[in-house]
Amino acid sequence: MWICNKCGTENDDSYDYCVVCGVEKNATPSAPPVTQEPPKVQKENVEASTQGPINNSSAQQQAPVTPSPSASSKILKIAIIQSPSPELVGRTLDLDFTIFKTISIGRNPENLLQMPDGSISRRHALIELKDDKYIIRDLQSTNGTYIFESGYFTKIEGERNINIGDVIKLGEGTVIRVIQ
Amino acid sequence: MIDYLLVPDYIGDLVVTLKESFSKEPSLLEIKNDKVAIVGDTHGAINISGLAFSKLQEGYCVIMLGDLIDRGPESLRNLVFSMEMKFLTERVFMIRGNHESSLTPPYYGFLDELKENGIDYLYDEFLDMFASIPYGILLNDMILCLHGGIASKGLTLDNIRKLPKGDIVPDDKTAFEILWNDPREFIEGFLPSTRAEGAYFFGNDVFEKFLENNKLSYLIRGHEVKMVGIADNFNGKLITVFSSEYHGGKKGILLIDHGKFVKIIQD
Repeated sequence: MWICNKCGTENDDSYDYCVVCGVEKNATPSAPPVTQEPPKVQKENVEASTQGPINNSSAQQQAPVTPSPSASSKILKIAIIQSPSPELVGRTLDLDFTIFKTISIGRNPENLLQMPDGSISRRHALIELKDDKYIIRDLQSTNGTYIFESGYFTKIEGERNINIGDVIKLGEGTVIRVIQ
Repeated sequence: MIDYLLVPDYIGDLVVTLKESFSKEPSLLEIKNDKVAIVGDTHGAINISGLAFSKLQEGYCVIMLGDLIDRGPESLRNLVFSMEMKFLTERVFMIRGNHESSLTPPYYGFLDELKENGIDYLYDEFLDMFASIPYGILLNDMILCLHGGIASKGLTLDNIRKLPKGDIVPDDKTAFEILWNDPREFIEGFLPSTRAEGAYFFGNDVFEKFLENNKLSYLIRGHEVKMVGIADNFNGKLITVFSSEYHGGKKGILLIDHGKFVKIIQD
């Protein structure tokens, strides 16, 4: 275990970044503080009236190899396909990795991406920018993290690369899609 | 004062009568009318049903998109009131919602309401009546009304016409999906829904294909909570009308007057 210098969270040794605040494992206390302004992570856009620029295959068919999102922009755009909160459905989010290398997803407010869904664990999953690629890692959540492939939601064990077009289910009631 | 909408013998007679009436209607009802008021899931909101019926005086016919029962505290009165209006006039039409089924009433309030009023012996009669309600309405040859949405296995208007009545769950996969599916931006094809096994989200591509293949212009449906009352998807070709008070949002009624759409939104 290691303790985050910024927020004091105990993190598993396998994580290079704090699951709560995203600060790097070996950062000194004087490491660049997280901005006092609200993080850019949860910048919401209005509902798009057209589909996102995603692959053309039927979602029920096996997903073809799709390009990785460009890590150079350090912004991962996701769409909320389903949520128990109706007002979130159809919205898009820009996950900004400029400040944080890791963005935590969970039910609790200390997550950078807090999802209002009782089937999502307090600390459910992480999205990381690692070696110029985005990966998602399930944090041994109660109801699991899944990726849609070959017509089914398959449970993610450990970590997994994220590609444009990927559909990810968090718990039992939230579905997101990587659109850019 | 006796609330006649809750008198057991009256309800019993009405259920039998309406079951016969619905049984004579095809699975896809075809209506031609220039003035139509469409009300979505009311879930016991009898005042919203009443607001829709008030439009009868203005020459509108009324289409109810299903889900009259469960959740809200007056779902029995709302259902009986609506059944009575259907009995009294030929200008009230209903399609089946996913709650008009054996799946939800034991868990979402309707069966409890029957027990509280001492008429749970009528439960099976209600289920039989629900199973005889049409699955869709084709309005003026160009607008399709369903409760949920399009189904994943090559849905056509002819498929809807052929759906069997009397299926109380329903077990028929196409019928089940028509009652349970939802539209979603940002997806293509069909994606398994989180609502229930056998239900799907559908994307704009398959929706457009469905409209084109069946020479339709719009799909009007309910089923999904819309806090704004009425919401559009897929470039305005799919309209969701939601009219429930229980969910805490605004309540919508959609009027179609000679091809013009007018939204009534109740705070």
